[in-house]
Amino acid sequence: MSSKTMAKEKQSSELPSLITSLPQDIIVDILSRISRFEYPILSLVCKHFWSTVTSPEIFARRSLSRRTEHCLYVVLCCQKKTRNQKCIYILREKKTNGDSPNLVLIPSLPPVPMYVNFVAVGSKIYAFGRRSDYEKKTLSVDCGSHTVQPFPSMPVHVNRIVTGIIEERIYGVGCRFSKDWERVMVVFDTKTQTWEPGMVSVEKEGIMNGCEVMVGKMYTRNHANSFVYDPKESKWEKEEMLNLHVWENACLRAYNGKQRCWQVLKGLEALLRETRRMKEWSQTPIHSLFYPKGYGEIWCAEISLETRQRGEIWGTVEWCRHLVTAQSFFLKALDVVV
Amino acid sequence: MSKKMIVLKSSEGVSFVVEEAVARQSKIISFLVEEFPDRELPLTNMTSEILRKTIEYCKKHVVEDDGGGDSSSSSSGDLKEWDVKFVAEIDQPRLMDLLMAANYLDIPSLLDVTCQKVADTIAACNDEKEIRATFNIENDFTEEEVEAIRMENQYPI
Repeated sequence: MSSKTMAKEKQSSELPSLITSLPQDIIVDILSRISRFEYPILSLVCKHFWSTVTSPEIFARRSLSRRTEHCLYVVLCCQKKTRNQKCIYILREKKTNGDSPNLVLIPSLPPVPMYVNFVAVGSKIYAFGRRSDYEKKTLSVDCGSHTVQPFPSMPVHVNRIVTGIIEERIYGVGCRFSKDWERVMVVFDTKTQTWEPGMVSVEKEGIMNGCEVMVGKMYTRNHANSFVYDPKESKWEKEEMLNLHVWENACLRAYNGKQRCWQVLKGLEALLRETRRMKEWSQTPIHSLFYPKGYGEIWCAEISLETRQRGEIWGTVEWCRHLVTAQSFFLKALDVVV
Repeated sequence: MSKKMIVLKSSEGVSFVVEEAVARQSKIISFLVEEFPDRELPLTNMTSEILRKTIEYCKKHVVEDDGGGDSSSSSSGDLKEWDVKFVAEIDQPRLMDLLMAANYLDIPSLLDVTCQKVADTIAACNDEKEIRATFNIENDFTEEEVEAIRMENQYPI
């Protein structure tokens, strides 16, 4: 074996590498066919590979040739390290470390303040300031090059914004003060990277706690009421079913937006007993449940779902793993396609 | 009607007589045949071995026009299987030569299968050292640069 390696080394000093002498366009094509999760290894091969896998061209090619992959990004707040700021991590499937996924910080991205909401559309993560004085902190992150890019400011100042994505548009609902508090919606088109002019007035009371998009409609709720927005009809309506149940910790329900009914997810009772506190459910590309455990531990469970007889939905825990301990608490999982 | 033949000449001066329809899968040859009909085409940067392989691929992939519309000589599923076998049998240096030939002659489907094979070979390597050894790539990083890239990519929490 050693003599073979020696022979190879000897050969390499005599012959120039064929692969690095290929036209750059071909090298981009070849490397764009390899999984994004292998890029850390590719970048260590030589300077040529490193500059290629960190270039915008390779991510443009992946998108053009439909070779993109889903990557799960996770936003965590590490209290000690970053003084209550949020940092962006990627859930990486490490080949060299065996099969268990692991969470790594992306050091090139700056920490962002607490009052920022995150959404992901395609290859970009958008971070919105939830308070108007944080509006300047609004930014977008290109997840190919892991760089922060400028972001056009909102057409109006909006406080306590919650966001949902429908067909590459970001719908942001929040409130603004003019004479009195009023609730408004602003829309950002990620294709043109511009805010649509003006705002939509939203006639509903109370502070919105969160936002979920299902079957092309946006659902948002406060302590008493829930509302649904249909972008095709540009209309907000009250949605009675969404707030039907008193929410308990040890129960996970799936909402059928078409039939407007709730269904209890079965088979996950043991897992849910462990996840009493805040948890985050990520649907794509795979169902993952993130939850805190013990002191500052973040755990992740991958769940597969199946519909059994009589339409019952059953979940099975594929794996369950401690990801990180860093006096951190989990905030958001983002499905990025690069 | 007899099929029109053309002559391709390798770097060693070996002549290959090929059906025009087979050779025309190369966009470059297709262009040259129209510009210089009845002329022998010298391919000075292709060895006989690589030219033979390229012709073998083109023969398998030729779409015959029998007057009754286009009909491929094989079904697409069979062709894919044949392609996988075709590139699997070639060793790494010759695969690179074939890839360059596909690029030079502008044969998109051959370029696609050879690029995919190279990508699969890279992906099958366990680490950067194995990639370097497989493709004779020189490590042109300093230790400090390697450390900086490792920090950027695999930053521990």
